[in-house]
Amino acid sequence: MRGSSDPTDRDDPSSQEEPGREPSRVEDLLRHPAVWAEVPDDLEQRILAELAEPPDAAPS
Amino acid sequence: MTTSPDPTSLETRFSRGEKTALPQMYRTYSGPMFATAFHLLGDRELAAEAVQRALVQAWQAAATFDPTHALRPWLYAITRRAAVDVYRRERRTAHQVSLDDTHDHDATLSIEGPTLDQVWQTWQVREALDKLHPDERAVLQLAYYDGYSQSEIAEILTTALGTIKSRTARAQRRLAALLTHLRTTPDSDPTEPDDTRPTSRSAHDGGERRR
Repeated sequence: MRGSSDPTDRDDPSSQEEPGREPSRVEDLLRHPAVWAEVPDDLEQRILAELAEPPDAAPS
Repeated sequence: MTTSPDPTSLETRFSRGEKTALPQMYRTYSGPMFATAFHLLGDRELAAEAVQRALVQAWQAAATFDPTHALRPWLYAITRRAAVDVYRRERRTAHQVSLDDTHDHDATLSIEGPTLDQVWQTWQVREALDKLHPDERAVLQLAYYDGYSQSEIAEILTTALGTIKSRTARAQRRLAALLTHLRTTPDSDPTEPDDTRPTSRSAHDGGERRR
C-alpha cells in the first residue's frame, strides 16, 4: 500500500509513537474506510425534504 | 434530587422540537452516524438512506427524548437499528435474486461483519476526527488511510516535511487525548446487546482505498 520505495524514508506516523507499543484499535480504525466516509452533500436537504412532507403523504 | 436540564442544550432544544436543534444535530452527528451505517452496510447510498431514516425517526420521536440524558447513545442506537432495517431489506432482495438464478448471488452476504464494539468504536473515532482541524484530519487520512509516507504527504500538500511531521504529531496527540479509553480497555457498545445487527456483510466490500 505504501508508495515509498526508499528504505530510509521511515517516516510512518505510527513510528513516531512510543517504541514497542502495539498498534492500537484506533490505528486499525484509521485504516478503515468507514471512519473517513464523506457524508453525501445532499443528505441534509433530503432529510429536510422528508420532514417537510405531510405525515400522510405516501410515496408513489 | 433531580437537576433541571440546561434549557439551551442541544438535548433540551431537540426534545422541544426547536427547529434550530436539527441543523446543529446534523452538523454534530451526521459524520459519526454515516460512519456507523457505512461500517455496517458497506455502501455509501445505503448508509445515506440509513442516516436519513435515523434522523427522521429521531426528529419525529423528539418529544419522547429525555433531555437529562445524552443524545449521542440514543442516536447511535437509532442509527444502528436503521442500518439493520436497510440491511434486512437488501438481504431479502438479494435472496429473491438468488432464488431466480442458478448462481449463488447470496454468497457475498456470507462475509463476517463487524462486532458491536467495532461499530461503536467507529462512531467514536469518527466523532473525534470531526473535532480535529481540517489540516490535521487531512494528514491523518493521507497517512493512515491512503498509506502515504510523510515525505509523500509533504509533496502532495506542497508543504515542508517538518511542518507535515509536526502537524501529524499534533493530530495524533489530539486524537489520542480524545480517545484515551480506546487505547486501554475494550469500550462496550453503549446500547443494549442486539442480535439483530447485520453480521454478514462489512464495509470492506464497499470501501476502497484511493491507492
